[in-house]
Amino acid sequence: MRKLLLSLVLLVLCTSLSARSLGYGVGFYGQNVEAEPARASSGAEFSLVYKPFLLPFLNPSLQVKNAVGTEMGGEWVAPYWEVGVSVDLIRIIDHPFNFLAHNIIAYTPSVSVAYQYDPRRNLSLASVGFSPFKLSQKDFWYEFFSPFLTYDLGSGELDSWGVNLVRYTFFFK
Amino acid sequence: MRRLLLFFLVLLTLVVASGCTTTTHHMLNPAVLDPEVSLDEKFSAYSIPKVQVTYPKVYYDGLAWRDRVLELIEGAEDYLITSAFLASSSEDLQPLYDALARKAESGVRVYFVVDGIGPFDMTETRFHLIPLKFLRESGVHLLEFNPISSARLVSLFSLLDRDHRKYLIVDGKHLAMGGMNLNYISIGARDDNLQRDSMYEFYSPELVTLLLDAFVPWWNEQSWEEIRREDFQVDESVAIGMKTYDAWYVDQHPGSEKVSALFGSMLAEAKHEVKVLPFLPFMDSNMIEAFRTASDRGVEVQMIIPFDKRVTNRKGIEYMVKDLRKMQIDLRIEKESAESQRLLHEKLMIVDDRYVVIGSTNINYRSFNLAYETSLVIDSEELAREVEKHFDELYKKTVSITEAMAEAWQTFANWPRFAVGFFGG
Repeated sequence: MRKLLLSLVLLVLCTSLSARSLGYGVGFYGQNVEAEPARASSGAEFSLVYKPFLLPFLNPSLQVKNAVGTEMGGEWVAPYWEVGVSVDLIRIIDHPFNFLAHNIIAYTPSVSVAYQYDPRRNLSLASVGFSPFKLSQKDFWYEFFSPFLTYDLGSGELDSWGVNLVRYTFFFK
Repeated sequence: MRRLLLFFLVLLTLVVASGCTTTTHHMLNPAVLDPEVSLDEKFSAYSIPKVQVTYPKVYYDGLAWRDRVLELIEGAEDYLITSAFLASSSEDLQPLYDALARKAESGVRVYFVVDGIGPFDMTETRFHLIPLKFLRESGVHLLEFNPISSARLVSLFSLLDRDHRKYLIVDGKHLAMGGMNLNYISIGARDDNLQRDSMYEFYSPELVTLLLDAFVPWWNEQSWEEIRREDFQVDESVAIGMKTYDAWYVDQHPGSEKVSALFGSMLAEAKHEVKVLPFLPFMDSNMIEAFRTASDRGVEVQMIIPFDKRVTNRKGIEYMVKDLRKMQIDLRIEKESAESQRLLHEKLMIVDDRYVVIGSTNINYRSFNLAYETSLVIDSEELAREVEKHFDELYKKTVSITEAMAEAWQTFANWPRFAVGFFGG
């Protein structure tokens, strides 16, 4: 896991970055573990994002995420680390949500697939997510109500489900 | 797990800290201070390009500049690009913004950049402020740089980065830059709320080319409405037959060392006299040292601090004055008077009756480190004479700042105002 993370960071640092391709995000998540309801947790999610392109269709980005929150019993936990790819399906400039932002903002719904690791249970999972209310500017993403599911990589069964209520991502470089 | 979390936090801290660097040590760079190196070579070393400009028409009256802007808007045939730190409409400015809207509706491409702090304008403008979003309905390409909202608090210190430039380009022919914004107190008020400031209008195909070369990629970095450089023509013939002067232009970006190098070089170039209008002189130790070094060489430096009727700003600057006195220059402050109730917003440096430095750049930490700015050095004894008369008129209405005044002003109660002014002024 550490090697993978380090490799990703090195890849990002060694790549000739175009403007505004590297960002970080902060969100608020809630997650329910199907088999162990006591492990349901909610809290903050932090992410690093690398988006090398600005494609109008199927625009990919690499994402590394870590969640920190509290379980039902009030105990602080880091329920998941995640490395994956998100793809903006389409970019639409002319839409009804433009009044929400100061500048023209694009509607960019996205889907994601990721490898997720739950350190509490030493469990490897596959995560799939959907961000139906994602608005993008060149330096900022706003995402609301993004659900995700995780599957046990061993058994293939549904392990948990959750939602990112809100996530803001700022591209600083 | 803890190590990974620590790694993540360190990385995030580095990212955040990278936005808080200072560039003012370049004012004291040995290469900048070296008397054996010519001004041209110093500017070349910092990639500060040399251009030719015609003799500028100087506007000191905001209302006169507003009328001229209106005239330029009415005359625009192809495109108009303008950038202003603060811009908003008001009852007095409605004709100007209506004209802009009409032009856009008629097919003229209008690109309007306003800084995201605009809606939070805390000057007298706030009582008259009409946001500019309505311009979009007419086809004006309006861009609010780095908007401020609760969501964008995530961008942390990047919120400090502001676009402070004020310039206007019309049809690749007309060009103006200086200190005036496009809001009520800059070009709209008819009473003592109207600021004292300056704008310089001149012809320079070379400078227009530089501005466009910088503007197009910058705009595309911010906006989904992408534009192409080849769609903005420059009128190369506009200055033919007119006398031109050497000038050097800096398009300052946050974190760039260019403005520090430019002002450091100008101070190092001075042989006998420097006259400065800094606007908000919240300087760091390098800037103070650069002025003191010039003073130590026997250069007579005169600096006028405006009387600011806004108490928070005034008290913040007054707190700073004790440190400013370390420059050992002729440090003056405007006398409180009916005239000085109109804030002196002008930014100016005159060196040796020869070089005139104009633009949007305040002589302070924020402009040198955290803002997009324009600065233009014009090598013209004629222009220096003209603006020196203006400076000397202002000088007559100032008083010297004494040690006792500085001691009395640097109080603990004023420190928060100083801190706000230092990073935000």
